[in-house]
Amino acid sequence: MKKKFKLQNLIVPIAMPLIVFLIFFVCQPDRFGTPTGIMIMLQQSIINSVIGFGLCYNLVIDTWDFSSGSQLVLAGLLGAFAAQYFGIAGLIVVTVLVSVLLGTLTGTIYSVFKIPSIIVTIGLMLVYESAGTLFNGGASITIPPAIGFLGKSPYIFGVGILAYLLAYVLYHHTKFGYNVRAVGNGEMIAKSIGIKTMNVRFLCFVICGIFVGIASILQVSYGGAIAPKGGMDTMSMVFPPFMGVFIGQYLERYCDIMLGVFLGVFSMTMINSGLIAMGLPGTLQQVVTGLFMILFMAVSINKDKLTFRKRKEAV
Amino acid sequence: MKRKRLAAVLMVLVLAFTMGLAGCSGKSAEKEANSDGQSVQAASEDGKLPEKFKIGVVIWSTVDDLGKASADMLNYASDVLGCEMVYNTDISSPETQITATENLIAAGCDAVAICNYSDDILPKIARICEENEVYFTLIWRSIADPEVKEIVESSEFYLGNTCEDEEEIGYRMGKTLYDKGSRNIGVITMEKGDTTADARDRGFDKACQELGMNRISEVRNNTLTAAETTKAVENFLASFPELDGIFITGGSNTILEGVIQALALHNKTGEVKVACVDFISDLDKYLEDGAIDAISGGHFVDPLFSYMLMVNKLAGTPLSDQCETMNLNFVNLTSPEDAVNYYQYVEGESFPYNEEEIRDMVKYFNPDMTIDKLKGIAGSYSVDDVVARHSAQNQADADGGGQSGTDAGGQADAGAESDAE
Repeated sequence: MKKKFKLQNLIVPIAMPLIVFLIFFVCQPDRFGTPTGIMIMLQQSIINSVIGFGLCYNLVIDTWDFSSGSQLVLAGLLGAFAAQYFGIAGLIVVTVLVSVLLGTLTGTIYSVFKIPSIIVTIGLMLVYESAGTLFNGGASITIPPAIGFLGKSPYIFGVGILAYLLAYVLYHHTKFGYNVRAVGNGEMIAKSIGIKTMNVRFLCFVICGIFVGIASILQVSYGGAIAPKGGMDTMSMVFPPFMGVFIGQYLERYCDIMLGVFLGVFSMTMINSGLIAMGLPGTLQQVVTGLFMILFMAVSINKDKLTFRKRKEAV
Repeated sequence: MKRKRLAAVLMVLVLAFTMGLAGCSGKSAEKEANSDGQSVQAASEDGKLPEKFKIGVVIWSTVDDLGKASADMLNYASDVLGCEMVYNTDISSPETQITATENLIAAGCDAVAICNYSDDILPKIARICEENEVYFTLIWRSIADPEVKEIVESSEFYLGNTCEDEEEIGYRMGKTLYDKGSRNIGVITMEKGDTTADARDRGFDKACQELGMNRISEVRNNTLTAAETTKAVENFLASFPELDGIFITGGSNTILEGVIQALALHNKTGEVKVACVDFISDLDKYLEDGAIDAISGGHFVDPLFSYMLMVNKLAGTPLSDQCETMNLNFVNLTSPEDAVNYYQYVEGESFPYNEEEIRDMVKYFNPDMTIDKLKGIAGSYSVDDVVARHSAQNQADADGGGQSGTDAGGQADAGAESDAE
């Protein structure tokens, strides 16, 4: 059966980035929205989007993963170290391998001990952060510029598109993706139709590890260096992707969730760039970003209630 | 049988009592020697202090460039003097620094050095230290709030602080950028409330006002990574085509590398001038490539002087009856040669003060040491100072003289004299 095209499905997903763009463009026409600026913002959205693709699987089934930032840093440190001896191959293989192993470890601990995901992932975040600070004497690692080409345009876009396609196929066209959506829609029902929900949750951490590994390669290549982080500093690294996933989940009824994740992250990146373009003091920048997040969540959560109330009144 | 057992118990008791007395007499003998200040060196032939004092440090990290170099320096000094170091890096906010201090005291530290985020926590820390009779000092910090200063300085357990003129370095960085032709500057700094970053910011703003430069935009974040810094600089470049300078109030933890990477990505290296406080590795290469235009740092030795205030007090040979402020200079690197010298003599393979110089900073070993001399050593710290002391020593060693070329005391005299002038 042919799917009916709805104009709403096109308008709603692009509405938010468009509104954000227009607000800053009107305020700062000379500084914001130049072709170079748009390219830079798109480029900057890639890393957080890739992390978001990974986190999406967990968040859809209501599993929180705060350890992704520390996984990214630890995998990046080991990968950057390997890159010094084995070049780009060392960076790619070691980073993805370590990240997947860490994801597997997180998933194993979660599924074996059945501890709430927030507790497991925060605990493991501390462990991974400490491992990062112990590795190589806690020193930062700089990669040779020739190895870091994946962090530059157009390669970063190529990797981003491949990651998106992988996320899309896994979510929409595999048994695993079907199971994830089934568990996300209701664990009891999923169990009753024979889905081993704990296996699904475990696999979500593993799959998340793949995307975090890809993001880690891009992060190291883009920044040219990576340093260990401690004191829960890596937790702040997952908030922009989280925000992207929340927006993606809201937009899911209009478009593909992974595309929604990207649009969400892109909107957040535009806000960040726009506030800098406006020359606002750093503290105010954070206030505006925080208010935007609250506003979006308030609207998206309460919109359905308002629609329901209006329908009820109409009836 | 019973008699034998009784005799054995008595013998053990007598032995324990005798050993205890011997220990006490040994200690008191050392203290006596300290008090007359004459035969202290003879009292400890192994060159260690009479007790293994435990010194705690509340610091943001011991793994980034600055934190690690400082911890290495303190560990080295403690190895020389026979002390033990304990670090608490579990701090994410001013409040957690109070907890970190309590934890160090609970761990049995005899004195604690704190790199406080803000002045507000200091009255509480002073109270905790008083209650536990633990000495404390500040590192890299001075107290800006007059009320807090009065409260803290009235505590008999507060020994003083070591600090750099943060406002002056901010001003100097701004002036250097101006001299290099920059007029529109983006700033990468910490969130408001960080005493050091705020002071550097103030100094930079003063330079902007006086010299007519524009602070066009800023990014404030305490947890920037290299990639996040690259993003920030890219945003500056996209929004402000007129950007011709970047000032970084703290460049460690790959922040400076992120700036350099962003400028290289957009072919702006050398065109957009970079001024930064805090050293990173490979500075000689970056200076040679023109990726950095002004950089100051080398203040990793800062905690050593607060450490000396504590160690002297604990050893029973205090350098002063009141709290003291030790002023340290920033090291400026302007050429690749400066960087090579810095890494050869100051940070990296060797330490800026050798074993003998470290012992000379402690009155227990060097009865001539005074607070003014220690201040003199801190005040004269620079690459030239270290090169002069240690290259002479290396030369002497190479000549087979076997004698130390210089001593901290002598150098301190010079420093003290220059201070007096």
